[in-house]
Amino acid sequence: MSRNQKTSTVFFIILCLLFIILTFPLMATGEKEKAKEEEPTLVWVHHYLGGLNPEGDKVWIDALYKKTGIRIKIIKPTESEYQTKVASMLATGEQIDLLYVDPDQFATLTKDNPDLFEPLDERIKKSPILSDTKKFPKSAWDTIRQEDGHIYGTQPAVGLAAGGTLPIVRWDWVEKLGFASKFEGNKKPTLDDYYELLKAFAYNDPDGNGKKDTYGIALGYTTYEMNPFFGAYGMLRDYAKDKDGKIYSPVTQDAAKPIWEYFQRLYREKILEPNFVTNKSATFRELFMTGKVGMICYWDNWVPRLNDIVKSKNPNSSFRARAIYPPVGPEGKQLLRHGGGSYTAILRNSKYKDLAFKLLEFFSTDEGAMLGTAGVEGYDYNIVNGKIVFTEIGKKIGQNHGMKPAWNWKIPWEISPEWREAMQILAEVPGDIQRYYGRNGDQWEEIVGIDAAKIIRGEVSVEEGLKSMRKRLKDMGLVDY
Amino acid sequence: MTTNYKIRKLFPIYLMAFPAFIWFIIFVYYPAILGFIVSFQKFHLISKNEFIGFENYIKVFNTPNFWNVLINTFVIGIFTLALNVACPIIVALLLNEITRNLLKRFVQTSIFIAHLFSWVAIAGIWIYVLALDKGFLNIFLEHIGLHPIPFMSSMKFGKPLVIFLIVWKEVGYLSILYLASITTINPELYEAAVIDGASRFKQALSITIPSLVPTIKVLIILGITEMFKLFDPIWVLRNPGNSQTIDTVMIYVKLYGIDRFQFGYTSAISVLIFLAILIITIATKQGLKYRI
Amino acid sequence: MIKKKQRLRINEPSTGFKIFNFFILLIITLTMLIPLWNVTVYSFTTDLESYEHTLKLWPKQFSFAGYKTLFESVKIWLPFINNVYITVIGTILHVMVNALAGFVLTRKRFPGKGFIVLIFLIPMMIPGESIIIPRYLVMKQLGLINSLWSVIVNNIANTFAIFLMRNYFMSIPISLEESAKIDGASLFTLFKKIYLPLSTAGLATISLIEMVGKWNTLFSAVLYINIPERYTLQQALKVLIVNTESPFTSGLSIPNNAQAAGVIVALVPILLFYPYIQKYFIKGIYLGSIKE
Repeated sequence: MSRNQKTSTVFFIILCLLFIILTFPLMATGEKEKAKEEEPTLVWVHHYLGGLNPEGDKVWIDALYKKTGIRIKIIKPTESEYQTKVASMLATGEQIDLLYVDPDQFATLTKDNPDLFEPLDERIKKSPILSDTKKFPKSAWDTIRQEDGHIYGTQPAVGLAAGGTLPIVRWDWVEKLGFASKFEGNKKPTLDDYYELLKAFAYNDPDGNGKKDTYGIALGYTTYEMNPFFGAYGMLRDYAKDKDGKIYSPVTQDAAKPIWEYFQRLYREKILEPNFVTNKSATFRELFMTGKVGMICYWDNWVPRLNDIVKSKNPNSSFRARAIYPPVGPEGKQLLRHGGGSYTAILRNSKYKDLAFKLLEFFSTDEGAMLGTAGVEGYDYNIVNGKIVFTEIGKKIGQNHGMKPAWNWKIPWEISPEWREAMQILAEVPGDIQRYYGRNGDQWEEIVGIDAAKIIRGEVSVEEGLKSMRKRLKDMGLVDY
Repeated sequence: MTTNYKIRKLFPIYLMAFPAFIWFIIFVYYPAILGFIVSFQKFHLISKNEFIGFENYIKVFNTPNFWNVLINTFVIGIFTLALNVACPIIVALLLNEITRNLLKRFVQTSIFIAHLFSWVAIAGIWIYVLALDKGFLNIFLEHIGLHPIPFMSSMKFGKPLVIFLIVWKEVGYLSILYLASITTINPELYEAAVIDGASRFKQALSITIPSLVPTIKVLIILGITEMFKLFDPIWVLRNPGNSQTIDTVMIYVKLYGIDRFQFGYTSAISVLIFLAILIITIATKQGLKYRI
Repeated sequence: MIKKKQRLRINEPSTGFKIFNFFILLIITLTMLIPLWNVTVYSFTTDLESYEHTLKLWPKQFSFAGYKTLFESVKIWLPFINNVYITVIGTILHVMVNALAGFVLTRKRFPGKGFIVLIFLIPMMIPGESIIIPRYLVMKQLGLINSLWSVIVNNIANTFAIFLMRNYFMSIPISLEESAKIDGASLFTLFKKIYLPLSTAGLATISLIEMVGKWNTLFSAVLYINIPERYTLQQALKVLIVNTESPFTSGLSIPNNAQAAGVIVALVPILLFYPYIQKYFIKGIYLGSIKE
């Protein structure tokens, strides 16, 4: 190399090194983040706590700090990396104080690690807020009591924290097709009524464009959410325990034949949207919103959101989503699935268990309920003339900041009549939560789905399909019969 | 040779190998050894792990559907490997024949694009194309009087779908590797062939392809290791309609190992996979007469 | 210096073949471009239209709503800069380390060669899943958690790249090395002045592969980085779709046009950069310099 080239190379190398060294503190500082004094910071791992983005999170965390004096750090791993992230953190001794668990996860984590979480029974008894039996009766606590008899969270499956799934229909289509009288106020519609309605959705051209491009009902993940229909036979998905203590899955038993035949028929007659195996929730929600399908079975709190989303983008649309009473079976049974059973638990080896409990307690107060649902005043909503008005950001997040009230809290902002109706239906119709008995719900869906897909598509007879379902579950040791 | 000379000669070699060497030790071998130890333990998240010997390994063989999953892995793996060698070569050869530089670059960029998408995006897109009622392909089938086929959720089409999508996604990217090799071929060889009256086809057969053989060998050996690690495409494409026929070993590792926080089990399967890959690689190496 | 010459076209392929070639490549190109076009179109639809699940070739109503939502929900500048940082540094280190390691493998018979080959080859056979957690521990022990260097360091040495480089080095005629040695060149000089310049196709290839990989980093970023200021681009974008899939988390619903916009925003830099690197594996490096 010539002298010139040599100098320029050396110069270039020095420049690079300088760049790396200078940006190192900016980009590279590891664990030693600016130590925030002696103030303890609790680490809360949750799916969807806080705001819509890091900025929203910060606003929410600051608001929480102002109200409780406790500072937290939220870690929201993405869905697919959740398990790995939690596992890595726990296995390498990273600080986690609060962890959001659903029943599946709780069972999975505590199977080999029974001492992972802190039982909260004593603390609840001593807490003035949580021991209020009017607000939290014993039946409420029983909804989250674990197999070992203890309670590990402060949010029973009651109130907004629970909700439930029910049939949601395009009411504007219902009216257009002449079914309004049949379904308006009808608390016990029959399966035949439903069949007629769904058939009309598919064949009577409800969107009026002259083409047969609509379906009656859409499902997703193969069997989701068939619960309102299983409820007509008094069953729900997942597991149940019989009087001898044996575990079985009701919808795989022969008693469930009629319902499977019902769906087989819906598919055969092109009333059931055919992509039910590959559809996700977002898919069937969107099919519903874009007028491709007349009914979906989904969560009550989506009824107002579906209306809001469509109306905000297309104010002139006739779209109106409403919940209706679920079908009644031939024996007069009617059952809806309630949610809940997921909550935030405290890690036993957390250094700040008392503070963590104080936080959880806070969310069982009215103020906490506001923060956990509506969000932060001035950011998510404003109070105008004594009424709560949501900002653009507040509307986007849909009044769910991660901690919904787990008692029958009176919602202080105006809620749509459609939602009020849906909640009314949930309150009136008998309901129950899906049970897992320490088993995994996703796994149930996968295993049962194999034969469910075949049955519904008519590739096997219902008897064969159900027999195969039971065998698969039994081979995996998940059921007794 | 004096020892001094030997050291002076060898030292640069060792020095050059050192960065890679030390990186592997820190980020691969050390974690792997830790993992190996865990495979003999019952992994506790916060308390001490206990040693349980070969229990995890036995559990692996008792996993329901284990043999089924193994077969899936093999079948999908072998077909994918074979097509992942053949198709990119053909594409590279075809690409090589394009004279206009701009067109060549355009085509090459376009076929490379699929590699840039994540599997999530790819599955999302092909779900539209293959959907039962409004999918492009099924509409076409209905037009010509056939029954629509649930491509994305049927047992029959599970494996072909996965194999097709993997090959499709990577053909652009793999063909680059071959294209780069083709550019290193001495043009004089072609000149000589033309003088001997060889057709273009014959030229490709006797000059281009043989010179690609070293690259092919490397990609086969490396492809074998990928065979067992197949995960991403299966994860996004699986559903109850096809899971029985496309679930691979790594899917089981995720479902029954990582997602259940069963790390002893995870490590045990990984050790077994490693041994399997090792044996097959050695056998292939002998078979291909591949000298390092 | 080594001159680069145009590759001579000796004989033109027949027109029939040209057309056949054109068609095949056209079909393949279309299967790649249509999905990309589809995503692009979706990124320019209105919120409501983006909920439709069909193949679109043009938006019914053109709208920037998706991009607006994207840039409002995600502060893109910082992740973008983080991405550039990790991609540039990561790729440079990757190329340096693997080129050196690959070169070592071209040296004939030296003590410890077999050992080094094994050390380089074995990591590829180890399934990644089993070393995720131990590697997390290593990162923690090195103090790299929450540092962008955890992501940079994640794939510095790579078996595939090493063997690929070795291959490209092996295609360089030995006579060049011999004549340089006669002139008294040391190993480093050999590497720097002969092997490196003549294997630009290989270097370009592994740079490209690593660049794309680093640019799209998601998994390791989610694992090692908890500070929003250090999120990579894909990680920051994932925030957009984080809740739309789970049936249990209601509340956040980001319309598809914003998600599509996210895909496009992450893709565009690569697509813009790609043509620059492409010329290295299209243009031939003429080796006729042997005569000179």
